[in-house]
Amino acid sequence: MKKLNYGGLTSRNKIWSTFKEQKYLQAFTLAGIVFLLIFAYIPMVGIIIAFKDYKLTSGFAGFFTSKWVGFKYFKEFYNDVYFWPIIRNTMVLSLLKLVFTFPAPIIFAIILNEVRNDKVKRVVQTVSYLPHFISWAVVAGLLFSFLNQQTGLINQLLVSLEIVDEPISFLADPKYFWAICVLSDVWKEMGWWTIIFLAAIVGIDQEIYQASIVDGAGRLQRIWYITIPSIKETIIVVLILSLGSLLGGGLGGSNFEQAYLLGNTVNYNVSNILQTYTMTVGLSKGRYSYAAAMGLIQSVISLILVYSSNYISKKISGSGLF
Amino acid sequence: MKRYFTIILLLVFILTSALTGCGKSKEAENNIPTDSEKTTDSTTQQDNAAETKVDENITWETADLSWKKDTSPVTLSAFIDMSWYVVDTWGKDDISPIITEKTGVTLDITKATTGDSSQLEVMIASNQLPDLVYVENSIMFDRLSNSQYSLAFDELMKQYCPEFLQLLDPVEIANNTEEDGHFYSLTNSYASDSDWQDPSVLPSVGSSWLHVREDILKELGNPPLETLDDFMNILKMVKEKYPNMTPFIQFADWEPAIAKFMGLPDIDSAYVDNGKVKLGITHPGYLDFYKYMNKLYREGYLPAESYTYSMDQFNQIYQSGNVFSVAFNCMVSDNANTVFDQTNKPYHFVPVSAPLKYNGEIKYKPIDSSLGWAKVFISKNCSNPKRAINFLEFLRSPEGDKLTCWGVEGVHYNLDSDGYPIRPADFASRTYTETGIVQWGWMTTAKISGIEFVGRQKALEPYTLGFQTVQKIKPYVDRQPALAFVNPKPDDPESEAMAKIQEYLRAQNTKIIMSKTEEEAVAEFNKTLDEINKMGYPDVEKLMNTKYSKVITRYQK
Repeated sequence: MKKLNYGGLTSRNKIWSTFKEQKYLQAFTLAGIVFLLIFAYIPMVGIIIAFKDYKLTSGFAGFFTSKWVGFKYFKEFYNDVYFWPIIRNTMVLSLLKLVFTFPAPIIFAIILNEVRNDKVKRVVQTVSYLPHFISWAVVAGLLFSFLNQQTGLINQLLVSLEIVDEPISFLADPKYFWAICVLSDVWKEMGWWTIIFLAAIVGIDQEIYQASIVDGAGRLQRIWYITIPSIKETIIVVLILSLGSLLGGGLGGSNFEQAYLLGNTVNYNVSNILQTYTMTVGLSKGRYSYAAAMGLIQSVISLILVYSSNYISKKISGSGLF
Repeated sequence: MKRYFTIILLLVFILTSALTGCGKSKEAENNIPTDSEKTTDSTTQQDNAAETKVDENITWETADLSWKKDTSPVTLSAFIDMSWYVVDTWGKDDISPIITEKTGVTLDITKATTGDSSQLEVMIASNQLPDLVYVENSIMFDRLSNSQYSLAFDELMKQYCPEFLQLLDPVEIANNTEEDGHFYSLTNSYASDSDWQDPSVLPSVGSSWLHVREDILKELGNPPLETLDDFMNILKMVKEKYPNMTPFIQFADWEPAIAKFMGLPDIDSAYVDNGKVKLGITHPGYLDFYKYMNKLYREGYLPAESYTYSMDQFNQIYQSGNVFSVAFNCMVSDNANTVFDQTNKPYHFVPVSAPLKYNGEIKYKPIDSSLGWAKVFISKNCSNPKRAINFLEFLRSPEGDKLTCWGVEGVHYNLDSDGYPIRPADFASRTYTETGIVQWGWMTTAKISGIEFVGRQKALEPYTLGFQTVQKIKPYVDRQPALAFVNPKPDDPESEAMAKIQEYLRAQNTKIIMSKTEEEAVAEFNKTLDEINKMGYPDVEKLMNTKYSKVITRYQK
């Protein structure tokens, strides 16, 4: 590598002296790097078991000593009776969530920003992000209480108002599963992600708004021509991140929890997704190579999504995540 | 760049080596026989008791049993692989300090964390098992039952407490013996044939059964309920007279009582047909079962939502008072009636008084292949194998068994005239965590725990319908311990097909029942049989038969 000269200093010396100046700040970065190295990069060694006939009895050493089997487990998954339903369910659920849960916090942040009463604004914001801290197990319990056919509050309301004759089987009928997942995800995570967009909106120079008012711009025009373009980069970063975790459920990352807790054998044809199948047929049965192969497929798809969305974003808007 | 990459690779290698190398040093310290030193002749195992006989007259009451010889203080680490377990600390309840007083052993307990089912698997993979491991999962039984992770009980007994081996029932040894000829644990709550004759030893209250609302039956004029057709007719009457009531619910994750009444095995468990082991779903009677269940669904007697409930949700639904009949375990009536009485509701559930007849006769014949429910393993890393096996010898002795299950006489129970431990009035106000009763019965026998169960039930009047039901079930039980050994083990190639078949059957079971027409149900059932064949069922069946033919000889002696 060609060495650059900065006023007598080599590039390496320059980097080192800058590093020394920033040593306390760099310590924080280093902690993050060590964390990633230990919990993200080193475990990646385990990916090789997707191509090996790994048995738990061979211990960690078995990662390296097990017999190579090539794409055996990938082929097995491809030939699985549930392969196409799983791919369809995972993609549909993920895309539905992207379509509905990604714009929701942006819209909500813009609406909240337009609220002039500070107290109302604060209360609404707090109430909207609190559900983020409730675990999906509790949310599933709440959904049961509201939606079950026998004693559910929604059904009692619908029947008593004579909107329906018979209670609706929300939890069993497959046609409601995706809608319940998307709506509950929006309810749970919208307020939390609103914080990021609200912070971006607050950072917009107020003089631009004042100038636009002088020019006669209405409220909707200000939103369309000032607010949204100003938070464009934040939107792109969040979009790329949520595309990276698309198959996990996007912003909320809740595909597994929802499919596991709200899924059942009645709505199996729509609730059986990659993550739940990895657990039921892979991990819980001790089939780690098979589970690793299914997990790797998901990771590769996610990686492609991150890189391609970043590339497209850079081409279209000139900005990207990296 | 190359240098950094090399450093990172080196770091990865060092960390991996450190992790894989952990825990191996203890083996040498413990003076544990190596694999090569162990005999692998399975035929010799049956004669172990005879080889090691030390005294023909030795009994559990003999004064100098091995566990009594060294009671100096020692601490053993233990992992309880049951996140639901109610105790996780030693010495804070009534019973564990007494065990320490008698044996000198204190346990340093770690309990599995809720939601993290992989803790024990990580311990196994990293060879970081504690001294003792208490597990309930059959996959873990198979994982730990080998010399790679656990010390063989038979070898420890021969070395440190030969009388323990002699005092064990040879059938119990056979039940726990692995293919290498050793046994690495003893399943607790196992009932030997002679124990089974004892009226206190009963089938599990978890046995599948059907419960109906007695008050509704009365309002319907007490129509006969002796056959599955009677049941269908009654559901029709309920639907007509009480349109807002749910006629029937079945807990999805439980063996269906209707299938049991038809004399069917579980869909994903083994059964024997003319000496050949097969998977339950292949039983010819299953077609009729699915037609019956499908009719219940199509007629609106069985809601689809019944198959979506978790156990808590299911309990909540039938205890709401809006359900006529429930298929689940034997405790449904008692649980529901307790809630109804507490909330002053005039409802009353009863279990059906006898197995419902199918095609004019009682076909009910539940297979009991379980040999108990949980096991303690002494890991190969155990810091003190001698004290560990002696500790388990105490827990298994009648003295230890009674202490852990019944408690202290005069404090936790008093024997009634029939010899059952009856709990004092204030016992119900104390939790199991406080008393430690039953919790440390890691080596308990079905007889002692059965007597405790009967004594507890006697104090529960009038909520004893579940108790009465298991008494009724007992004569019908078909005990086939050999079937506990036929499923593919985790490392058998056939386990891959079995895992897929089980998951497929779980989903298909509901799909067949929820078919829109009977023709669709039949087609879906036939498709299920075809698919499991494609998934590798013939190989699974072949393996099951191979295993069965090896194991069955143990029970034919």
